[in-house]
Amino acid sequence: MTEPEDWLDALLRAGPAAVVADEGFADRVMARLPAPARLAPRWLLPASLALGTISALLVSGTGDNVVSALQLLVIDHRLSLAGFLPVLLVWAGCAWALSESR
Amino acid sequence: MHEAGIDAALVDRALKGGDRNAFGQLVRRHQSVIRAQLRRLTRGDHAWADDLAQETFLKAWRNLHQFRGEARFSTWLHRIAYSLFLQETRSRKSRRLPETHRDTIPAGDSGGHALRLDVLAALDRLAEGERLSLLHCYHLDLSHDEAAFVLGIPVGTVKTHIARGKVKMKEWLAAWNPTEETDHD
Repeated sequence: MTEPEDWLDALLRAGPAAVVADEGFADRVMARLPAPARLAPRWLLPASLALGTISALLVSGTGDNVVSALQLLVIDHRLSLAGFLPVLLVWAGCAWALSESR
Repeated sequence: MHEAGIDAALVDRALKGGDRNAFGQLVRRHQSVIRAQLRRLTRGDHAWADDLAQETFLKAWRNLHQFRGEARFSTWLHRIAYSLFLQETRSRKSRRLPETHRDTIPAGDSGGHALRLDVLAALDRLAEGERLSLLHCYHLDLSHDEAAFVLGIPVGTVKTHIARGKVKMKEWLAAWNPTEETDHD
């Protein structure tokens, strides 16, 4: 807070009992604590998404376009955005899902 | 290591190895501020406040992996506590808030005691947003940004609530203004 303190600020800061004694509270919480949820390994989500992407591309037939775009890129050093578009879209979704799941 | 660093290290231990002792230390470090916040929110209903505080820490344990370290750990806990309080007051089975603050004020000199009662009564008369903003920024000593994060409202709204609330309180508590008292003498 940048404004100078006035008489009301001082009154407001001096509220009722600012410190609450533990008195067994933490122990009661710890007694109710469930077993930690088993978190999936960090690599599992991106790996599943990559596998899903490849499967979806193969099943939908779009995979041929991607392979052609890859060949164009590697052999002729030309970039075909249209060929990579499905992959880019899926991976944008993956990146978003990953950022949300952290 | 400063406070935020200690919290970050404890969170890391609790997350990576499921270290319950590390989480226990976090509970002990922050139980006071969270229970104080909930006592203010429930207007001094200590039993209800402690139930909510327990739920807050249990929820924090379950969602510890969502703590991104963007805010202080205590601020993150305050946000969970406030959202649990809101959920409960909004649900059908909600417990009614006491009409006035039930918190006991330690008896000291009679003037100080009466003053603190008047401050609490004045806080209770404010609009909800004003009361919540003042409570979080003054009683809990959060910054405007932190209060906005906890309450889920824009920082500008917090500042407006505080300004409006203070104008009202200065009017209601004018009798306690030491400068005015001096002027009258």
